Amino acid sequence: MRTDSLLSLQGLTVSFRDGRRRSIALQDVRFDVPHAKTVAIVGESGCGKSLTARSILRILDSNATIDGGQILFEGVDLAASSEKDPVLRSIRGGRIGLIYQEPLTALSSFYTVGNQVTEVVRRHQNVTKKQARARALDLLHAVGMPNPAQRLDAYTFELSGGQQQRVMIAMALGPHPSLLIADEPTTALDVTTQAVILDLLQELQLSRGMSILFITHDLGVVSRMADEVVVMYLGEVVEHGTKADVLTTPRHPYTQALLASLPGRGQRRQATIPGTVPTLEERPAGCAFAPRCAFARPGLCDVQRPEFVRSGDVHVRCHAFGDAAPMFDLSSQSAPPDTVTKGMSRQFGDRILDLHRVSKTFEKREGLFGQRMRAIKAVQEVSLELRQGETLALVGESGSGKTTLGQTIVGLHRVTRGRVMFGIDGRDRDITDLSVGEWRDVWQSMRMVFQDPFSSLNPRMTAFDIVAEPLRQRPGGPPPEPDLVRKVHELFRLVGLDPEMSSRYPHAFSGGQRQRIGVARALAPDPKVIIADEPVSALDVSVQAQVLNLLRDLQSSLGLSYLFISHDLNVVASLAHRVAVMYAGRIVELAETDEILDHPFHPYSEALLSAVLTPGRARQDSHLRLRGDPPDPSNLPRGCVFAERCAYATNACTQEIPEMRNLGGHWVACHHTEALALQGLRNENDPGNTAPDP
Amino acid sequence: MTYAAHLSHSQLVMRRFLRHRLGIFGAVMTLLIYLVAAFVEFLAPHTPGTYQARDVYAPPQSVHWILEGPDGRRFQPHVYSLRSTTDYNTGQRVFEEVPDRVIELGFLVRGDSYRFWGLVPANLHFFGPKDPGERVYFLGADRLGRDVLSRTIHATRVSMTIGLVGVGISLVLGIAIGGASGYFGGIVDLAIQRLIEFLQSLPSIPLWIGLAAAIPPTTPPIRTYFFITAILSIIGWTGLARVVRGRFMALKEENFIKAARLDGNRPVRIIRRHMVPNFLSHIIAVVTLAIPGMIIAETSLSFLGIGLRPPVVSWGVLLQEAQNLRSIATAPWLFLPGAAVVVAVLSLNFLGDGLRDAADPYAN
Repeated sequence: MRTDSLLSLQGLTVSFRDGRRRSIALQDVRFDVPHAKTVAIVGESGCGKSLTARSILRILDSNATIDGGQILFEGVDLAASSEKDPVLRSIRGGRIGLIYQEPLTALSSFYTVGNQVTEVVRRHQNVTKKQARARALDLLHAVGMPNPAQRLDAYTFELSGGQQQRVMIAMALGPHPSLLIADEPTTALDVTTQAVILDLLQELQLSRGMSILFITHDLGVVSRMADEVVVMYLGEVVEHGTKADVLTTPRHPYTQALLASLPGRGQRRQATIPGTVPTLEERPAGCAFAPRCAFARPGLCDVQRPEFVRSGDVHVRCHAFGDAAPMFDLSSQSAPPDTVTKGMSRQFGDRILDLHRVSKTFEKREGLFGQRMRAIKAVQEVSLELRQGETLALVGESGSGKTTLGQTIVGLHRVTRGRVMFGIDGRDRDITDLSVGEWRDVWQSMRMVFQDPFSSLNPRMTAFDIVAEPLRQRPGGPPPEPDLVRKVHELFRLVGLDPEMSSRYPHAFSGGQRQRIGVARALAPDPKVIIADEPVSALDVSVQAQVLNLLRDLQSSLGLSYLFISHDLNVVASLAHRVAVMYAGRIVELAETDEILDHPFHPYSEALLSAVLTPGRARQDSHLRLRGDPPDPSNLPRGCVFAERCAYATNACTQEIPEMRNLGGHWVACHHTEALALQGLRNENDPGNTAPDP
Repeated sequence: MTYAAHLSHSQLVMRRFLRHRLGIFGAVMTLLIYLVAAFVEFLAPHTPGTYQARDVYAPPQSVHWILEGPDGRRFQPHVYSLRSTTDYNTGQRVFEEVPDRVIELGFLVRGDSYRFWGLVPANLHFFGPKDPGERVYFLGADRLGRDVLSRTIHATRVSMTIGLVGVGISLVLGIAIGGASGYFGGIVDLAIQRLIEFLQSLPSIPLWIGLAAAIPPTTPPIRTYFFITAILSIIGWTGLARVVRGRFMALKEENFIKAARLDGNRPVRIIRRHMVPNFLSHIIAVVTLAIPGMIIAETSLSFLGIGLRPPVVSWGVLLQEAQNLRSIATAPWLFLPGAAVVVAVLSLNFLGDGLRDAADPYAN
C-alpha cells in the first residue's frame, strides 16, 4: 500500500453463485486511489468495472460474495466489516459518494429536488430543516445548477439530463465525501452536456481535494479526467499506471488493441480485437485475454495465469513482461495486420436519394378531451442528397430529429411537407406519399439497420428466419426454398457469420453478432441504400470496430450508399464522406467530412467539435461550452434555432431564420459565417494519429 | 449468454418455469384438481343427491386399516357403523361408533349407480363400502344426511369449469376488443377504453345480483350455469382487454416490428407471425391468474343464493349450508368446500405466478 493512498484494493476477489455453480467475477483486483487524484477504471462491458465499485460500497447483489482480499479505506477494511456495521453505513453515501450512469433511475420522481438533497444532508449532519435547505441550496449552487432556488422545488422529471446529473452530484457531495465513485456518469448524456459535467467534476475535485474513482468505457473521457488508469479485462486488472504511460505507451496487448481499435479518420479499416469478451462461466485457463491476443504463446499463455509484474512505472499482468519476456516481441506486430488502407475513391455514382425541404410535424392532442392540438416540429426543411457509393452522416444530439428524419425517409412516418426522390433502376421516383403496396417495392431497395441489436430482432424467430423474412415477403412472392436457403447462407457468410449458426435464436448471439444479423437482413433484397440508425452505439469499442469494418467492406464490394445516423463524431470521422449536422430538427451545416471537422462554419458545429474527446485530444476549450438546453420542438424560437445558446448571436439571429447557403460546396445555415473564425479539430491533434499508424 | 444456443423461446420459458418451485407445485395441484373434476362420479363414494334421514349431521368417520377377525389380523379398510341417540337435555342428536358393527371398505367397488358425464351408465366407485346398501361419511354429512365428501368432489366439476368457460369467453372478448383498441388506436381506442372504465366502475356484486335475478327461477340448471358464466364474463373481459391492448401498444413500438414492416409484411401477418407469439406467454399467465377470480365470483354469487341453485352442486352452493351459526357450532365439516376453494385458488395463483415469471425468459 502506498503512503498517499485513500483507498487501497488488495487482492479483491468476488464470485457469483448460480445454483451450484460458482463463477469468479473479480480476481485478485489490486490498485490504490491516492488522495486528491482521479483513478479511471476502463474496460469493455462485462469486465467487472461496476462490480468493483459495488464491492467497495458493499452493495453487491445477494448472489455475489467477497471471497478474499482487502478494501482499505481510511484505515477500515470494508471487505471485512459486516453489512450492518454502523461504520460501513456512515462511509457508504457519507465518506464515499456515488454517482450512477442513469440519473433518472437513481432519483425519485415523487419528491422534489429539495426534498432529496436535504434528506441526504440531514442523514449525515445534525442540522435543522431550515439549515438543511440552505445547505441544499449551496450545493445546487456549487454544482452549477441554473436558478438553484427555483429548482429546489422542481421535480426531477422537469429537469434535463444534465441537470439531473447535477442533482446526483449535489447529493453525493452533501456529506463532504473524501472519495467520489462515478460510474459512467456521462454515458447517457449528450457530448456537449458531457463536456460541461466533466468540467464540473474536475473543478469540484480541485476545490474540495476529493479523490475520484471514475468508471468508464470511453478512452476519450479517461484521457480527459484521469491521473491514473486501471485497465480491466474479465474481472482482472491487466494494466495500471499513470495516464501518460498507459495511453501513450500501452504495455498490455489488450490495452494496445483497445487503443488501436478506436475509430481514426479517413474512411480506412480499423484494427479490431477478434471475438468478444467471454462470459464469466467461460473464463479461459491461463491468461484471460490469451484467446483474443495476437501475441499469445501456446503452451504458456493458455496454461499459466500471468503474474502482476512491474514494468517501468506500470503494473501489468502479462507474460511478455514477466520471466518469459524473451519469448515475446510485442513491437513486431504492433502494426495490426488488419489496418490495410483501402483506396477509397472519391468518385461517386448518380444521385440516388434527394430530399427537398422535407418537414415532419407530429400532432399531439392535449387537454382533458384532446381538444387542443400541439404541433411538434421534429424535422424542418431538410434538403440533402445522397450519391451512389457514398456515406452521408447525420450528426446531432438526442432530440435533434435525426432518427425521425431517417424513419420518415424510409416511410415509417409520413412526410408532412417537402419531397423525397429515390433513384431506382436509373430513374427518379417520387416516394413522398406512397401506398403501402408501393412502399413494399421501395423497401426492396432501401433498407434500415436499427440501433439496438437486442430489440430489433424478433426473439421468437431463428436467425435464419429473420434474415429470410424480407425474401419471403418480397412483392414478387418468395423464391423457391433451395434458392432461399442458398441466399440466406450466402448472406451469413457475407457478414462474417457461420451459416451453421443460422438455426439459433437471437438470444444465443452476442451484441456484435446480432448487429451482423441485422445487417444481413438489410442486405437480403440487394438494396441500394441503407439507412443505419446508430448501428454501433450499443456496442463495445472492439466490437464496434468489427461492425464498422463490415460496413466499409460491404460498401466497397457492393457499392452501397449509407445514410449513417450517429451522435458519435469519432465514428463519423472514420466512416463518412460527407457530414450533415442537425440541430432542433434543422440541418445547420453540410459539407465534406474533413471540411467540417477542420473548418466548421456553424457555431453549433464548433461547440460540438470542441466537446469531442479522444485519447489524443483531451484538452478542451472551455469557452466553447454550450449553456442551457436545446429548444422545445413544440415551441421553437422565431429566428435561428440555435440563437439562444450561440455565443455569436445578434439581434438579427433571433428575428430571421437563416437560409442554407452554399459557400463553395460547404453548406451552412448561419447569418454570420463569413464574419466568424471558428475552430475545428486542430490538425496536430488529429485523432487519426493516436492509433499506431503503419 | 448462459442459455443454450439451440433452445427456442418456448423451451426457454419451460426451462425457466421448471425452476419456479411454487409454480411447479401449483401446476401439479391444478392438474390433480382438474383430474378430480374429470372423474367426479367415479371418485366420489356416493352420488351427491342421495340422503339418509338418520344420518343428519353425522360426524366424519375415521378409517381403520387392520381388521381383527376370527382367523387373525388382516388388511381390510373399514369404518365402524354409527348409532345415533338423542340427548334429551340438549335436544341434540349424539352419534357414537359401534365397534362390533364393521362396514368393510374396498377399492373399485360397486355402489350407487350413476351416468358417467351424464352419458354412460355405471356403478363403479374408486373407494367405498363393499356393500352397496351401506353409507359412509369420511367427512361427515349435511343437514339432509348427504355425504359432504361426495358433494364436494362433485362440486369440483362445476366450480372449476365455470372458471374455465368464463375465462374462455373473457379471453375471446378481451383479445378481440383489446387487440382492436391497441392496433387501431385513436378514436377506436378512446371509445373502448371509456367503455372498459364504465364497466369497471359498476359495483360488481349489485350488478351480478341484478342480472342473476333476471334469470327466471324455472330455468333449467344447465342453462343457469351458462347464464352465470356469461354474467361473470361481462366484467371479466375488461381486465384482459387492457393487458392485450398494453402488449399490442408496447410491441408496436418495438424495433423488430418496424423491421417486419420494412421487410414487406402485411398487417395481418405482422400481428400473427410477429406480435402474437411474443405476448402469448403473457396471455397464458394472465388467463391462469384470472381463473381464480372467476371461481371466487361464482362461489360468492352462489353463497349469496343468486348464482347456481340446488340441485346443481358447486362449492358456493355447498357453502350455503354453512351460512348459519348452528352449523358452525355442530357441524364444522360443512366448511370443507371452503377449503377446496382455498386450495384451488392458491394452486392456480402459484401456477400463474410461475408462468408470468417465466413468460419473459430474458429478464433477470
